[in-house]
Amino acid sequence: MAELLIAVAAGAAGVLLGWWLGSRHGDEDKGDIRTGLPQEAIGQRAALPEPPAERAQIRQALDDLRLGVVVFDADGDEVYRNRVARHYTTRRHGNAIVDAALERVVQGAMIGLSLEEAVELHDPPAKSLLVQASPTHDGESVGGAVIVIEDVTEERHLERVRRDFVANVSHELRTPVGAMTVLLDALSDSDDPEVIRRLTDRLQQEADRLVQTIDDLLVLSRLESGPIDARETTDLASIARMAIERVAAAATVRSITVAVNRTFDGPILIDCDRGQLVSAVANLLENAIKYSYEGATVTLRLGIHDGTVDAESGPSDGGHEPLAVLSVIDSGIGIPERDLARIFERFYRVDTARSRETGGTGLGLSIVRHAVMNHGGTVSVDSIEGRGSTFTVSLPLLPTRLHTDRFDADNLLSAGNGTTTSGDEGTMH
Amino acid sequence: MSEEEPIPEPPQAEHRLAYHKEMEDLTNGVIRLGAMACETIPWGTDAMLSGDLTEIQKVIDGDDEIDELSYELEERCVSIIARQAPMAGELRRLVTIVKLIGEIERSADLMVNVCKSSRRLYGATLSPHVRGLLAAMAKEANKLLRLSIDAFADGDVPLATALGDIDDELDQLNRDMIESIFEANVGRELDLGPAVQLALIARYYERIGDHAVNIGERVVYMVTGRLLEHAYMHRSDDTAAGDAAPTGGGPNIESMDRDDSEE
Repeated sequence: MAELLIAVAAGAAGVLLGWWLGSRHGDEDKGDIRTGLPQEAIGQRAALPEPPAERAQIRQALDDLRLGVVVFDADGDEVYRNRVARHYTTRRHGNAIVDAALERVVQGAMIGLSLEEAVELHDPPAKSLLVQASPTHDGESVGGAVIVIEDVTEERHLERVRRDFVANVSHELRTPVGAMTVLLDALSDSDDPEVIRRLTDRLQQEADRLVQTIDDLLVLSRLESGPIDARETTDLASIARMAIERVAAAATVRSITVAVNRTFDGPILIDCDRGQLVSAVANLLENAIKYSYEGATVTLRLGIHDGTVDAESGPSDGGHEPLAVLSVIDSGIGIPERDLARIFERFYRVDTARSRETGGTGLGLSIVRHAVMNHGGTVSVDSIEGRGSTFTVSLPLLPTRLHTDRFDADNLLSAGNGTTTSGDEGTMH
Repeated sequence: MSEEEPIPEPPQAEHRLAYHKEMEDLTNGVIRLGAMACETIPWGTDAMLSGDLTEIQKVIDGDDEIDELSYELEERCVSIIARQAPMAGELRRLVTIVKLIGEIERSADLMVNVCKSSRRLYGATLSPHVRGLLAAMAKEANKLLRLSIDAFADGDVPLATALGDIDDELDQLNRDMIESIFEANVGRELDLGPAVQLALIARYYERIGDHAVNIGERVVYMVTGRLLEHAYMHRSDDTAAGDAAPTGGGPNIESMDRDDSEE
């Protein structure tokens, strides 16, 4: 697919180059002087006669491509850049590095070589680019070059996810089975009842672990398989309450306090599958407890977010849709920045050594993400390693109904609360 | 001189144009060198924090390319000075570039040092707090170096002068790191070897910030003809002696600045 696109782009750019060269010769006949001016190539185009409609179409098509296309003439001067390629013209920071690669492949193309250079930009957000040059031919000699710049960041990322997933799932299933084989071996050699008891205990643990992983996989595949049927109108606070009950024991063991912080007093109504959301929130709480220092406090914050109040953290495009927002905040070990983008992947582990100690299947956050996505919501994470993490779940609030249909609103809400979203900003923060 | 009938440029003007092009290419070269040096900061830091020895080696090897470009740029400067006998602003620009090349190249070397130290750290378990501090220092150092390159590219004097104050954040992180190392030592969490390496790594990041501040000073010189060096030397003496809170550099610098201009 990508190869095809590149071929098309190169073809179209070649047509354009041909046209440009042609018109340049024409201009020279009229005695136009254009040599010696630095970096004039792009500006020079303005002086050319208007291209016929067909050429304008080609130009438009090149601009609409998701690839960057740059055309050079036989002198190695740049004569055309499409819209995507124009992003790289600032010649600053990462773009300066793309520019350097471009220069190198153009030099190669000028002597007839088709070169390709991979550019890895590490400055966040990291990017992987592919810069490819093909010489265009003008009869026998090189008539110029077409450069295609392709952003392969997403592809590389997906490749890595796929590769890691296969490796990780095999690892997660193989480890307990491997341990069980060894334990069974030892068991068959032993007569000492004390040893046998200890070995069977360990066997039980490994079997439990395996069952847990498979259960989680099943939960995940059920969540992935489609929308939920059992929706009911629920107050987010009751979901939070149930989730806290579920992790109470784990919190007590590590002397961790789970504090609830409500930034909005009225009921926060959402339409949801209660079971799914309770497990999702409990999962986030469990993680927060697991990765906090003993005796610390984990905060569960509940509120609503009107897209108009805080543009920075609100939904970016057009979403003035009010949201129910639940955050789980801990001051634990935090997550390294480079892992943040990947922790919602199945079986992704920040630290494989540590995860063996703390347990868990490596599927928790994937399950959370899918459960939230099934409700039309999003889950995001904000973390500084060593200082703690904040996981935020945003779900569509029910007020569309409350807004438009007052009767419904009156029926749903008990008197005196203010879930109507207008004029409530004061109580939200 | 209507647009329809452009007259041929006289040879001297053409020569000026070629010279201008040469200067512009040189400036772009410095920006490119800066970009390459900036890249090594997140790259090397990622490699260190993930303990990826292959990537660490790549960063170290990649420094050759930076060295090569910096020699080439320096040579071009010398050649321009020799051939064109530039004056005033242009001479200042060239002298600044020669200085900048050194500062940038040294910053990249410091990341090589970070990488080499991180190899010696290999196998040691760092606490999340320390890892977080390292990531924060890298981020600050990267930010400073990027800003200094921006200041150069745009000839932005206010930004160039602000770098000293922005650098305070990085200095503070360095102090936090030293403190954490002491704490970890008290808690017997860190052996002496890794502790020393960590202190060095923190110092390398902190030095990158200092180079960025130097670049800022040179940019001020390039644009205005005034050198702020003395003011900052004074300030760094203060901090070195006191090593408590950073002295509020602002008024200090201003007074020294005035002294400079009177000379």
